[in-house]
Amino acid sequence: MADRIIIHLSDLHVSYHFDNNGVPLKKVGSNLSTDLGLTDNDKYAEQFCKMIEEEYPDAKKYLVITGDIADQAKQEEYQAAAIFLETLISRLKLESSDLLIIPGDHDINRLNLQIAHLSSDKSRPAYEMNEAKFSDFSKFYTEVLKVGFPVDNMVCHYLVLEAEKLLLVGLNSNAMIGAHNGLGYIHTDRLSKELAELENKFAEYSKVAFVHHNLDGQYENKKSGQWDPGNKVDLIQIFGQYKFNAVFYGNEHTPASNRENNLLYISTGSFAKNDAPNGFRVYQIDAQNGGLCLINNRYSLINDNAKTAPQWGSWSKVTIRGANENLPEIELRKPLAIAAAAPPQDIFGNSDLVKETVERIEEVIDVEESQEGIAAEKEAIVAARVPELNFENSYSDKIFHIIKEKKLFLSGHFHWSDSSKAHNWINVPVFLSDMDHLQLAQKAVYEVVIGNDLKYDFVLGLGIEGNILATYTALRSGTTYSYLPYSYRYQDHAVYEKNIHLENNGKYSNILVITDVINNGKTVERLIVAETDFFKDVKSINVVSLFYTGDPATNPLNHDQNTNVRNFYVTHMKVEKCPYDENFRKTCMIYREKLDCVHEFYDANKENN
Amino acid sequence: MYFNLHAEQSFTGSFLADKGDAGINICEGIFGSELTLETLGNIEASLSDCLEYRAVLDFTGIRDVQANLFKVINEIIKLVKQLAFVNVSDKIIEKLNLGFFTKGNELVDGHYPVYILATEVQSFETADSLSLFKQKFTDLLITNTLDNQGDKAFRHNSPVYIPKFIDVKGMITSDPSFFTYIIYHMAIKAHQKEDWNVSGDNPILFCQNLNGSYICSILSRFLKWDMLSMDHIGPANKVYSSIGNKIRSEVRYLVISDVICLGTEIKICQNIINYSGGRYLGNACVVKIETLFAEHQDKNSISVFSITKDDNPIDFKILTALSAQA
Repeated sequence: MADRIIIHLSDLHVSYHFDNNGVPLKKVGSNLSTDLGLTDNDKYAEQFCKMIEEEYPDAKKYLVITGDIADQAKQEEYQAAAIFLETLISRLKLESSDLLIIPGDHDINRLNLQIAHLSSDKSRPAYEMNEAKFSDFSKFYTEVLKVGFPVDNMVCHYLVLEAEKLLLVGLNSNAMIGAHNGLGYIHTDRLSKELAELENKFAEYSKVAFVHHNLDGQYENKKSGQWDPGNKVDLIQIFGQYKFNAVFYGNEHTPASNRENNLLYISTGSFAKNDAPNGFRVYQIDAQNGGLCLINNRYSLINDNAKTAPQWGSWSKVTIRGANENLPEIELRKPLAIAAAAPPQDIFGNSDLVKETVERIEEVIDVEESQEGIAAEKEAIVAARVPELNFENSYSDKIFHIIKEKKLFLSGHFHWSDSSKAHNWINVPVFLSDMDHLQLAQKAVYEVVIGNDLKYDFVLGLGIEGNILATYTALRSGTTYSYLPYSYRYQDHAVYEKNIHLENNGKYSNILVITDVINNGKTVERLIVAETDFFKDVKSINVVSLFYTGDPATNPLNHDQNTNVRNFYVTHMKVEKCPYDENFRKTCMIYREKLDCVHEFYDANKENN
Repeated sequence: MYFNLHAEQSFTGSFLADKGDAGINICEGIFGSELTLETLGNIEASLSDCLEYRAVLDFTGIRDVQANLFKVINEIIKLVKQLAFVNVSDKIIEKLNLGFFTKGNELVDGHYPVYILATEVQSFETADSLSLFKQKFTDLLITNTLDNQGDKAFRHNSPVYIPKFIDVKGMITSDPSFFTYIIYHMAIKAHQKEDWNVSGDNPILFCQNLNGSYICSILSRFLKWDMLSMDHIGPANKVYSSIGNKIRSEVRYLVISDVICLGTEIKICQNIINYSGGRYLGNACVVKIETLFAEHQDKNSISVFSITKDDNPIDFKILTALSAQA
């Protein structure tokens, strides 16, 4: 259980219970109103607090509300909202410094603003009259937070979570909302200046933004959501400039969590509006080894029409999976430990060996070369050890973590053939058996193809797993496709399986080979030899694999300039080679005495024959 | 030109909906019943140079449409000689703002069996889509059936002679688009099996050769079922992968094949699955040779195309030394 949580509410829409003629309403549009006979605000608060207390009993709590606290921004609505919030503050043991509240478009009293504009000198439009625009909201804000609301600022307020080096920044997206409704808008020139000042103090912090208007469209069929499309582009650039990882919002009353480019978008539903499913979120802060992640817990009000439950239902946790919800975890910083303790080329605990090797190299260099020479040589060594991958794909870590979590990197004696003996094996068939992992892997391969701008007019899936991975790229790109078994296993396949089925005759000059694993590139070399006719006039062969298991220090990929084959991959997991020579059956005690798991495949078959 | 919109949408929703972002995993498969702009846009793109053709958009399985399709439909009308919808609901027509074409189109229980998009009353003959599919399948099958005459009809691992070989890989490589539609048909048939399609207990698709893995990798997307490749049973009749136990205890497995003839490979798969603690559920294949009479056939078996005594367009035979022709 995380010991610090951020509770994210939005769109309370506390509603006034009279119509414009002053006639009492029989029904209001929110579960919170100014008439306690119509809505039981106290019980709503009580039920919510009880649930939070039970779920997160010992957690330090922060509360963020992303606007539309009131429905029409009337004083009466804010009075009821303040009482409601006081209950939350007291029950959840919150300090005012634990709260971040920003206004929504419903927090602008349209009628009062119109009147104010009529009595003004009319030198500026109503939406620029910030004092009048936020007058009622400001009073509420001051009452609850004990500080004034900065009506002209783009950054309303921010919370500093010092231990996690996390900055929660509340932004006012109502710049163009006046007497009429409008789209979300933030003056980016002003925002830029305000964020530059924050950056001076919090340069090293992870930053996330809270706004009211939705930057993405879930309910509505437009990508810009309820945001001015031009302003959205500028805003996202500023988020990129100041390294904001995520933006949280409400407004649309439709929950969603997605990633687009480098920004995470998290929309929470309305907390109390009763014409939409109600919801809120709790983000558990998970900070380990320098990493920072918000575990995304979504709660929804489930109403089973039970007489034994409150009329609005009860809060239940919702599983985040697929459709609009794709971020069970909101990763803000990657843990340092993985990079420090296990660099990509040494992920499986060989750091001491690598260290020793580097030290030995350094010792030799010390004797033979000058200091300048040492630096240059070290750079060259590092460069030689880094496998070539022009494009940093976003799937590598994700796939690595699945392999790690599912324990699919196995150890043992994997003697595939006399020339291919390893002590590790990645269980790719089981990895690909989960439909979600399969989709992820297929997309990962395609991203490497696209990201490296590989040109191809023919796709070839190599091996059963390669075939499974390649169908997505082939169908998505509409390219001619075929598949073959690994050539060193040709004897295990029927004639029809070994046939490419399509003749080349100069038709295909750029071949894309997709496979599950490459180690030293020999498999593809064998393929080219086995399929001489097909490959004889081919200009380029680009090989994309899900895993690269070779050792870039001793046998780097793509070092041979005299070949038209280039290798690319999604993620690197080095497997250890069996150190014994062809006499391994006698010299390797583990093999000979069958002391540990020994997996015999093709060799055993050959021997038996 | 016939378009099965649900099949098109299933493909778009499975393979094209996801724009490659590592954080997003969208796959609706055959469960997507809303026609999207992207799907209709693909159809529009495929209709260039089709002015001489009549086009039919089959709405069977489509329950809703995106609200912004009117413009694309108007473009499609201009691209073809005549355009008609079949099995389209009046609600969809209304949502598409195409109500001005209702003249002459008969509404039956909230659906238009045929809805011709023309301002004047026109006649429009539509062929049965299943017959079209079967005809195209048969053509592809005939083209990709090879003669195994003489000794070629003998295989070491088989006790019978099979003088014809159905080359499913040839079918895949020569017409991958149509083969995707074949797999879509397989998905629909599998989904219709009530015993198989149990929420929370969906079977895992099990394949054991290259053709099977090709089919599974697409079928898994359509059905949103997991898959497992077991390398390699089949002609070599050997089970290599004994590392760990890939078969999960008490989980149901559906064996996917390209062609089922005598069912030998299916039997091997069944034994492996059951021996390893899993539960063999049944099998699905592209082409099945119905060697048994209907009353003796396995009920937990589906195929896209069945070769029977009365429907044998490739003259498929199974012979033994006792047969007159062997």
